[in-house]
Formats: sequence, C-alpha cells, structure tokens
Amino acid sequence: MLLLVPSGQAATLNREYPLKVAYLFHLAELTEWPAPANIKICLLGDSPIREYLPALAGQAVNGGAVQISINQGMEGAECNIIFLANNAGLTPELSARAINQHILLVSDMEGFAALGGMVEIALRDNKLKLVISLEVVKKAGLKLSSKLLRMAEILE
Amino acid sequence: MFSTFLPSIYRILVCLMVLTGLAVQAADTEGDAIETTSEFLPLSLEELMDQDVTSLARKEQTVKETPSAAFVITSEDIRRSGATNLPDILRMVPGMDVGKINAWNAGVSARGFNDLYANKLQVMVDGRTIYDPLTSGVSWGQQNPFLKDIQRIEVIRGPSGTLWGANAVNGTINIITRSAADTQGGLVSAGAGNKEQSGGVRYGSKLADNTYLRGSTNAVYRDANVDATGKSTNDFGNAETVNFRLDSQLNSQDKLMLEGDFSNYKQNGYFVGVSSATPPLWTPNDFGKTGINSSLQGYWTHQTETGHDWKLNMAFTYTDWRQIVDQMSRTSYVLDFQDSLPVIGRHNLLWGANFQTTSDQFQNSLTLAFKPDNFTQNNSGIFVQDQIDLSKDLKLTLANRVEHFTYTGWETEPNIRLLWKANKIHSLWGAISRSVVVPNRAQHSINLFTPVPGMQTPFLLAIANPQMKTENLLAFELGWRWQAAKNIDVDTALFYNIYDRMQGTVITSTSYSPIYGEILYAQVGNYRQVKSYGVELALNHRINHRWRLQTSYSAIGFDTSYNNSLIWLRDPLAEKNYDPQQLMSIRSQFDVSNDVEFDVWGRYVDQIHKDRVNIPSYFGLDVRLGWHPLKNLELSLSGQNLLYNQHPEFSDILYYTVASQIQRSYFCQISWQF
Repeated sequence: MLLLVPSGQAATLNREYPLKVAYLFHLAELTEWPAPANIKICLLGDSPIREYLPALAGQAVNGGAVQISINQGMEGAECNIIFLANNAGLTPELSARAINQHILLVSDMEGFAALGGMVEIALRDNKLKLVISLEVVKKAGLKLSSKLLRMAEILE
Repeated sequence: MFSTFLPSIYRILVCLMVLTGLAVQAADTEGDAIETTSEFLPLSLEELMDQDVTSLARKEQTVKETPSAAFVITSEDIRRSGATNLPDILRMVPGMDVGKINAWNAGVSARGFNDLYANKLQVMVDGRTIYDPLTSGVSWGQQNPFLKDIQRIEVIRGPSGTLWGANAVNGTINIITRSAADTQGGLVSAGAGNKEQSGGVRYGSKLADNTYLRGSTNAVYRDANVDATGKSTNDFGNAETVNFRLDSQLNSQDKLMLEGDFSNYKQNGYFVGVSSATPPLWTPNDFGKTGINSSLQGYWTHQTETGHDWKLNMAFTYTDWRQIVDQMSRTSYVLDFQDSLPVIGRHNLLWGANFQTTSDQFQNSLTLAFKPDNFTQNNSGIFVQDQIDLSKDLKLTLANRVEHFTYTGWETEPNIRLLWKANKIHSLWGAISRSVVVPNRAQHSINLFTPVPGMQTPFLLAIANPQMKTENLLAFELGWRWQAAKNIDVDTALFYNIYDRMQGTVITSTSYSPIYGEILYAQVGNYRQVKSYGVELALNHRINHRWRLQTSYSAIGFDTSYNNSLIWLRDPLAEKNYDPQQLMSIRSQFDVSNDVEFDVWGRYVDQIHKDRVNIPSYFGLDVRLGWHPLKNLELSLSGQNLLYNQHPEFSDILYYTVASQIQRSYFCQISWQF
C-alpha cells in the first residue's frame, strides 16, 4: 500500500489527537481522586478523539486498568474524567455533577478553562499546552500533582 | 529497471528521519489510530510537551519505522542524567564507547575503532558537521554547547554514508537544538561542584507573528584531574559559548532558520613535543591549546505547489587554534540542497546535491607541521533515494551517493534496506551498505617529530602518506524490534562489518642524530583488513508513570589481518584491544514524589589494553537527586563515578602522553525559568 499523500498538497501529518490522548493518560496518572478506583474516561459529544481514545483502554494507571466510554451519552457511566467535545456541553448540570462526583472535566475547546471547565488542552504555536482552572479542580475534591501544575498555565 | 537504476538515498533530513521517533504515518484506519496513539503513551509529560502537532510526514520516520539501528536521547534524558558534557551524555547510546582521556577530551565511537581520533562517526549540530577534517574525528573538548538548548540527539549506528556522506561509517550523531519558538522567556542555570563550575543564560522573544529569536550564552570551567600517582595532570581549562537562533515560518510553504555560534576555549594539559632544536628540546607541561570555533548556518524549506519539499542548507564555519607547537586557522563553506518528490505510484523519491570547500592555513614548528602549510579541499556529491512500498508491511529502500573528494576522486556509497513490519509486535529490518572513510589532511600532510611517549629516546618522526586511499566498509546489518508488552520495548541489532584498506602505522626505517639520538620513521598506510561483528540490545521499560528503566547491552568482536613482519607503531591488534568487548548501561528515572526525582545510572565497561597500558574494566555509578521547590525552579545534586576515587578510562599515545584518571565528582545545580 502506498502512503496516502495527495499529490500537489503539502504532506502534513496531524498528530493532534494522538497527542491529546497521551495528555489524557498523564492527567489520569497525575490526578488524585478522593476515592481510588479504576479510572474511567468518557467522551461527551462528538470529537475526532473518539477514534484514538481506545488506545488507553486497559492501560495501567495506579494499579488499575483504564476503562473507556466513547458512546456519546454517559448516563449511568461512572466517569472519573470526562472529555467534552465542545464548550456547549459544559452545562451547569454537568459542572455540578463534576463537583459532587469528583469528575475531572477536560476539553480541547478554546476558552474551556476560563468558562468554568477544569483542564484545557490548548494549541499554542503548533504545540499542546495545558491550561488549568485550579479553583474548579479543587472544588471537585481533586488534587493535581505539582509535577503537572509545573508544566501548565494556571488560571487564577 | 527504473528503481534499481535510481540509486536511492536515504539522506535524511536527519532530523527528519528519526524525528523524536514519533511521527507516524497517516492514520487511515482505526488500527493505525490506536497504534499511532500508543507510540506517544510511553513519553513523559515533558517529552509530550515538546511534540509538534503537525509535521511533514514524508520526511519523518519513527524509530520503529527506521530500517537502521536508531536511538534518540531526549532533553529529559539529558536533564535527568546529571551529565554536564556531550561525551558523558552519549554513553546512553547502546554500543557507544566513550573513554575520557582528560577533563576535556574523549574518544567516542560506536562499533569499535575508538580513539582520540576516532574517525568513523559523522557528528552534526542541526545538520552542520562538527568533525574536524584535520583528523576526521571530533574534538569533543571544543564542543561545549548549552545543554539546556538541546532538544534531542539522534543517533544512527552503522553506516549511513548514503545519507550523510563520507565518514558516516560506524554511525551518525545529530545534535538538534531547540527552536527559538520553543525557548521563549528566560532561563538561568548555574552549577558548581568539586570538578566543574558552569552556568548559562538564555532569553527568547517573539519578533513578529511566527518569527522568534533567542540568544544564549554559557561558560564552563573544569578543574584538573590527576594521574595514577595522584599528581595533577594540569588539564584544567575553560570554555565560553554564545549562540543565537532565529526561526521564522514565513507562510504555510516557507520556513527559515538562522543560527550563529561563537565559542572560545583554553585547555591545558601535558604534551610531549620538541619545542626547540637545542636542549632541553621540550618540557612535559608546555601544552595548552586556545582557540575559537564560530559558525553561521541557515536553512530554507519550501513546499512547491506541485508537491515537492525543498530544503536549502548552508553553513559557514571558521576555526582557529593555537598551541605551542603549531597553530591553524580554517574556513569551511557548505551548501546542501534536497528535494523530496511527490509520491509516484509506490515510489517515494528524494534526491539532493552538496558542495563543500575547506581551506586551512598552518603555522608549522619542528614538532608538528603540515605540508603544504595551506590547502583547500573540495567535495561535491549527489544522492538519490527511492523508498518503495512493496506492500503495506514491506518497505524497500534503494539509495546511492556519488561524491568527489580532492584526495581520492570519486567514491560511491550505495545501500539497500528492507523493513518488514510483521505485525504490531514484531518488526524486522536488514541492510547492506558501503561506506568510506576519506583520508584526512593529517594523513596526507603531517610531519610529527616527538619523543616516543614515556621515553626520552628514541624520537619518532611520523611522516605523511600522500598515497593514502579511502578505507572502505561493506556492512551487513539485521535488526529486530519487539513490543514485548504495552510498556516494554526491545530493540536489537546485529552487524557484520568488513573494513578494507584500514589505516595502520608502520615503522619504516631508523636513523641516528647527534642531538636527538635514535629516530624512528613512521608512516600511515592502508595496510590492514578488519572484520567486526557484534550485537546491540536496548530495552525500554516504563514500569509506571513514576518509574522508567532504560537498559542497554552490547558486545563486539574483531578479526584483524595485517602483515606480522612489519613493525607497527601502535599495538597492531588495536581494535581488539582498544575497544571494550562488552558494554552495559542501566538508567533508572524515578519520581519519588511530584517534586522530587531520584535517578541512578550504572554502567559497565570492559577492560581495554591501549598504548601498552592496561585499563581494567570498571563500573560507573552516577546518582542524581532533583527537587522542584517552586514551579519554575529546579535544584539538583548529582554525583558521578561514585565507586572510585579515581580510575583511568582511556589513553592516547601521541597527543596526551599522560592520560588523566577520572575522579569521583559532585555537582550541584540550580535552574530558574522566567
């Protein structure tokens, strides 16, 4: 099989979503939940990340195996991390639920952290950076490792 | 046949070739998406943050997809090693033998033939070669970059002459510095220990949209080591470097990089030479070398409307050094063009052309002279590479480079490589290549007059051999990569190398002089054939997100044929004795807590017998404790060579007649980002 490179067009390879999944892996490892459990990562909404997330299924995090839920809804799913496909998903209900049930809210939408989300995976100069709203994270009873915070931009 | 006629090459934009080892093919199926993602999972958060989101697919290959023995040292590996100089860092590479001769100089080689003048590695900084055309080796003591500016070091063991030209015989090292866009803001770093004090400052800012500039400067002072009896070997010295780098993405099709580097050094040590024609002739401590290296290099990459990727690279370097026995100044200019074509059927074609001109000027002395005292060498070449996708899992690479050298005329360096991705867990590759070591300026024109080391008499007169030819290598390689578990990968390489017309130095005749006594005449020539064979193994084990182990093991054997009836200057069985038969390294990177890192690095280096000196096998042990008390502050304390007060690592018969012993050292470092 040949490389599927359209001729006459720059052969740019997009590694954005594989990288975002790797960030989620580190977030799972570097977040402390009040009650330790097997980590479940849920996707809310439709995002290209859906195709890549299954790579995390079964990965070992803090002694347990990661579970993935990529069905658009998450009713009944006990998620520890929710990846929101868009900012519209960040409803007051979801925020309240996240705070009560200690769920880490992550998204790659611009302004997500400033809008009341917790961790935003932002694109800056062709690299991915983390923007964290630490106050909201703390409200949810979650603790992010200082190793993670060292690498992130913290919103006050 | 079209494809066999097209000698292909495999020249990388090296950087490109092994790019962090992570670029991957377009994920067009679900399986590929998961596979692509899985390759990022073993990376640390620091490494992840260095990854570009988009990159040029055709020029990049992951280490896993490279049909050669590739290894990448990341900036995180460098930071956590505690190492403060390039040779120490290179000890991480499987099969790389590093022997320190003194505080500054080292022999660095892969797959044998290690020496102060180890001449079978191509070494580059951002694609600009830094090996010394005088000896075809690298003067490691004169390369003191700010380590925090290094993004990664890509190493390919085995021949890559087709890609990188002559002297990329046993391997290629490309040191890749961080782009200006990645080094915005400020950084201050300072360290002190019992053997070294060093520090650097960097500041980067944005000049315009998509245009960034950074400057950095660093300085290092190293203390003298000691000889076996504990007496100082006077190898103290200092080096200072200033560097700038400008990166600009002009538009979606054009990118510019401009980098300038200036460094200055003063290194001391013993050298035995003849400094006068009358007694006392020489003094043992009259050697000190001062010099400068400077370079200006830039490249322009352009994507055409028709799908070509062009890269135009140019570099100007100026080198000047002086020591009591001679002095040299040299300029070199390199122009390099490469064109990666759009895919035609199953063919991924790449071709390029290069031109280099180097002029030097010596001030000769009785001890060390080069005749003629000024000389210009040109070399120019072209290469073609065709990577053919035989099937989804099978890739064939055919490549050739044809190059013309002033000393030897035309040379050709073809190779053929095959990569078979059997499944997600196993991949196999094999290669047959030819590479050459071009005779250097010293072999063609040296006149070295010196006492035979360790004795007042006899004297040695080493004279040039203008008939010196290239050393040729025919190499056979096999590699196997095995994803043993989700968090364990194993990379194995086997090689069998046949070196023809290898250099050897014979004593041709003797004479008697009333001043100097007996004089032995020595001359280098293409006298020998050497075969080498060996195995290199690397194992990467990410135990959990706090703990990572990297292990490597290598073994090498030699079979040398030469004429026993000749009198050889150096040990005629050099390769077998000069290179450790086995090397081992185990690095552990452990996060004690979120703010505290504890890293341990153990090494084993087999015994060698060099220049009639026995250097016993040794265990190296380095330990580092790192602490991040604040977000932007890092403190670290590291210790090196902890198992011994002092021990020898290497020897050199001609230049450093007294090899230093490497001492136990401590180093404390603080670095702050703003």
